[in-house]
Amino acid sequence: MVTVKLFAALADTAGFRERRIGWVATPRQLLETSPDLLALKKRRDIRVAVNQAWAAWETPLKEGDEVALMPPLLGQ
Amino acid sequence: MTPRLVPLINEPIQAELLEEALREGEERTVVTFQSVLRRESGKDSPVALDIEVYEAMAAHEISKICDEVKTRWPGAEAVMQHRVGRVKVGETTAFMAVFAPSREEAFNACHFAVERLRTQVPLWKKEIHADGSSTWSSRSHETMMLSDQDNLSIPAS
Repeated sequence: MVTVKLFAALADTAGFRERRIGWVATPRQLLETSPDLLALKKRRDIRVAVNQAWAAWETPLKEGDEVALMPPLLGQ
Repeated sequence: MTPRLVPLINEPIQAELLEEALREGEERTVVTFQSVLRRESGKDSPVALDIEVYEAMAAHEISKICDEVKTRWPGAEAVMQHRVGRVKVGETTAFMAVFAPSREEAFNACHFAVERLRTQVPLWKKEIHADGSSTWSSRSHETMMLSDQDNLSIPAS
């Protein structure tokens, strides 16, 4: 399992802030295959963090990781 | 040794008190930065902001910024505090103080730290309007102020 956290407008769109889902290999796979995240799939401005650190979409995930999907920050 | 500030705070930031306390006995140049939610006149102007934060990560990113300042400008230090939760017009959303051996280093380090704060610390602002509606903010509604130890104020942007 991995814990998915959503923030700000992404949480409003998807309808949840935190959910545990089955393990996936990378954040990209999470976004592209999870039915829970279907509403976010087409967005191209999402930033990702793994275990509270900025991460790449291809970062390998381990069991128990926390993946945060975040909309752009104001300074971007 | 400069004390660290609580990085995220859910009550008004006491910028003047912090500034006074941090300047006391400090021999280096001190540059402070403050961001204040300004009053705007348009009908869509926010009367408040709700600042959402990814708390565990934001606190870590703020600590990283302070460490980067020390590494890039030997002898320099930075402290900062960001407001979270409901912020009213006129209240401070962010406060930062940078200490450095020279004025140039202090301003450069402060500029660096402000840019890092805006691009690396996971915070989002929801505008609250007078009619009770709200929208996620896509632009800044804050007035930025920089000052050095002579209390000379200039706009940051």
